[in-house]
Amino acid sequence: MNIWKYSSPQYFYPLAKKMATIFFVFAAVFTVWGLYIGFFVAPTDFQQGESYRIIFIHVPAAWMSMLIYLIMSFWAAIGLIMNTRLSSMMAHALAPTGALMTFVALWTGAFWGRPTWGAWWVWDARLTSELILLFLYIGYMALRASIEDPRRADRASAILALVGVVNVPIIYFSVQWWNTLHQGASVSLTKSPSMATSMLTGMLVMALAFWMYSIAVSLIRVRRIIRDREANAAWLAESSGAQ
Amino acid sequence: MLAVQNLGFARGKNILFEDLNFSMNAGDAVRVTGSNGSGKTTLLRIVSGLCRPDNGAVIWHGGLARKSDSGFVKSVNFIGHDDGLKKQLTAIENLKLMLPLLGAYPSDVEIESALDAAGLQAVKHKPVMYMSAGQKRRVALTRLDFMKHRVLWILDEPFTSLDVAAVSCLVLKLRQHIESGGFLIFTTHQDFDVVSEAISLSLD
Amino acid sequence: MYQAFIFVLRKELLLAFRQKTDMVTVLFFFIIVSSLFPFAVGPELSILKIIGPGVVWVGALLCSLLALHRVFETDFNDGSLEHLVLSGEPLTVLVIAKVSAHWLITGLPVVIVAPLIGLQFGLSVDSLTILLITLLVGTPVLSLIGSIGAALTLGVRGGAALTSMLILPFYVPILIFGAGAVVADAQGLSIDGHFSILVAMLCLSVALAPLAIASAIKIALE
Repeated sequence: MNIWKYSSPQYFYPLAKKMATIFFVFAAVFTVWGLYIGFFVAPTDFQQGESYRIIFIHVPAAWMSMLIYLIMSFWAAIGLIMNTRLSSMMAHALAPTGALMTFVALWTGAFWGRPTWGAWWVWDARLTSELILLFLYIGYMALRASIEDPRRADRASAILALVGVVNVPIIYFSVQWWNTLHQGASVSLTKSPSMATSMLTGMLVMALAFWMYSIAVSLIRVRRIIRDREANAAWLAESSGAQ
Repeated sequence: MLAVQNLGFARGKNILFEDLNFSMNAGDAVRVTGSNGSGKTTLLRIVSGLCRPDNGAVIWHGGLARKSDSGFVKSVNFIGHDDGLKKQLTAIENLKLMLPLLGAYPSDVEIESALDAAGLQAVKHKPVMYMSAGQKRRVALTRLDFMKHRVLWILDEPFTSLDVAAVSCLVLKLRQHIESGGFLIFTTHQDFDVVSEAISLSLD
Repeated sequence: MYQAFIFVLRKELLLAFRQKTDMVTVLFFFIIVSSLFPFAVGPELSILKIIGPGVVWVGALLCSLLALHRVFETDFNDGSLEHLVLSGEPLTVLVIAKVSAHWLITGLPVVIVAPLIGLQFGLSVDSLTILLITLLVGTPVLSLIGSIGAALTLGVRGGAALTSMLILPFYVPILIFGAGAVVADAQGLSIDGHFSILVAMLCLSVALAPLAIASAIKIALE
């Protein structure tokens, strides 16, 4: 079997459908399992009470938001260097999911912050970095949306993603540094002094669920992008006729 | 020798050309014709290296033109739709600051006499913004006098906005260029065959 | 290569000299924006002293954004950008020349005027000196990073607003260390750290930004 043939939209299109279904099933299973651990198995935190349970959503979302940016930039770079259409489409498809994860991380962070810090928003280093990450995703999607020619959009947004990858660590460390300078260390969402094993398991299972969901949704989105961009390709008419 | 092999380009879902082939030797001229939107400008931009084709390649003296060691970029003299003139600067200043980037270092006297020859004595010291479209085009084309070292001339609609006198003056320059072993690719709307020895390449 | 750099720089400076209003507009924008803050927060010098460095830095940053679209836009519209790309000279070098010219025209005047604005906010002479130095190192970084955004959005609808959206997040570290240095010094802390990081950012952006700008220009011309 020649695995490289799947780098062509024509062969990837049907494969993506099968894979998306499988990943959706996995996502559902892991979500149920993870939430069960999160709500019923994991003990109540003696410091933060029940409100800490939002970490089972917050932490996986925050992890995914950063990871997806890296993966998105990776595909964008491959698309830019190797001039492969499918890679750029992958980058395109990942951006909205990444932005969603960032938004979820911010939103849940605010919900956790209200009872813990007594404020919806504090200029905590992690939250602030996450906010800037959201801006980066929005910039990426806005640039893509405002360029009509899809190939130019691919290439221009790839450059922006790469500039972002170089800058993300710089932004992260500057914000961290700025934060420690201006306020003392606060209670952090993930630095619970004694994290029970079940909490960690729950978080990891939920992280897996988010992984599976992100992959499945991106695959569906790639299929839509292929449909839009390859509208005049003969194979698409055949395959949609067959399905 | 310049060769274009299996060139293909689509803008969005609109295929401009597919499997386009042609080749030319020193002293040849190619005139690209076609209706509006047939891809004349795109073809010229692809050959000059500004634009990347979807398929195919441009070959310069046996090697890929886009490779940096092919010496191709320094052989190209491309004049597009836009004149590339700065409206706040005079004709002389424009040429004086543009030509060195293209590897020509003419003296002020040489530039002035070239502008005089193009019939621009009266306006050469005025900022370009006070010139007519035809006069601007003439200033842009004066550049050709100093581009002997860039042998591949790629001119997009060079005759646009020129009057009869300027057209014949330009034709003379183009003839001289190909007779001295240059390459010339140009597009034109004009029906009349201004450079009669040119090979015609239709995109329709 | 060196010659090409000089010619591009000369052309840009001559153009700016012919169109001085551009320069003056940006400068007055800076002065006016910075002067708005006392109206908004009140004239107490104790408050103004605290926000002063931040206001001057944000003002400089907005100026840099305001002037950005001019770096490549006219060249893109009149066809001279094509000449630069097809000149056969290394595009990164030509890009550095253009960005340098842009900084000399719009960045440097702001840096020079900044201490005057600082005076209005009651900053001490020490603070003003540090403000001047950090702006001197920091604003070229703003121009370099901003030019990436300007090049990416050439000929794209949404122009200036889009450019700001793409670029502003990348300005955060410079703002943190630039304005932070003045604040830290006022608190009696050492600013060696701030300063070295600003210089490091300048080096990094001089090395990398021209590559990104050059590729973005080539993409825009396709």
